[in-house]
Amino acid sequence: MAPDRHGSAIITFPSELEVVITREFDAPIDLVFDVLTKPEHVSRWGATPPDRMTECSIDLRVGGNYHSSFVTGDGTVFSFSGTYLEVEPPVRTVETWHFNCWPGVEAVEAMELHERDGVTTFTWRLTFRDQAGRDHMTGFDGQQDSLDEIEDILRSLLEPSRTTG
Amino acid sequence: MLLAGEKAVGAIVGEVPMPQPQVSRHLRVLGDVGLVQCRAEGRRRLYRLAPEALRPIRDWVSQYERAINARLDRIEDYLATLQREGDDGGT
Repeated sequence: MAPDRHGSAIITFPSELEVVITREFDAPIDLVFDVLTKPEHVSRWGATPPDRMTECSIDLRVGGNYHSSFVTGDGTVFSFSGTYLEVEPPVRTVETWHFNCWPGVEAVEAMELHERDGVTTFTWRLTFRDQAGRDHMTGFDGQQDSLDEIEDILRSLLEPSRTTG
Repeated sequence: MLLAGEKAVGAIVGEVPMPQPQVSRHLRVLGDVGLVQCRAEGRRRLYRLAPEALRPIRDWVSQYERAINARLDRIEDYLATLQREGDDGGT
């Protein structure tokens, strides 16, 4: 029986423009890829109750578009959409990422899969065009300056080769 | 690095390819902004992360983590269901 990995996602902020989430699944890579990229699968897990998924279209090829819409319990509608830039089943897709609630925010989303001993690691990387975009994601607005400073110092301690010291 | 617990400067220096004066300077800056606390034990100065200073970040991260995990948990459950059903999805 596969272990319960609920709640085990690792979230990191490797740069001021990125959010990276990794999580393991006890399933073969082909199946995980299908579950992440086929509308008939995504529509089964895409919405967090009481939200409902009202639309899910995925044209999985370079230049193809995806669009998913949701309605919350109180009737608010939100959606994600974008265009595929890279499609390499079953290991990788890269696509632009737009969230209708953050109209000025531009990001590129990369989903990567890697299977080892029957366990597939899913890496989901969002790279924002500018830091203001990423700040939406982190909710760090307002204290960003001091956090940036701290982050720079922490990074310099962890990755000294990337800093001026 | 300090996530693993309290450490002396010497131990930190051993883990980063950086000379001790530079490490000490970084620790001093982190101390100034309240992120790292220092105490003396005998001759050694031990540094630790100050969890209070990290709380705003951690609160947000835990909220975000819950939302992200809820989504990934549903994928996990769905994958398990598919595989239990004999799986015509890709194996």
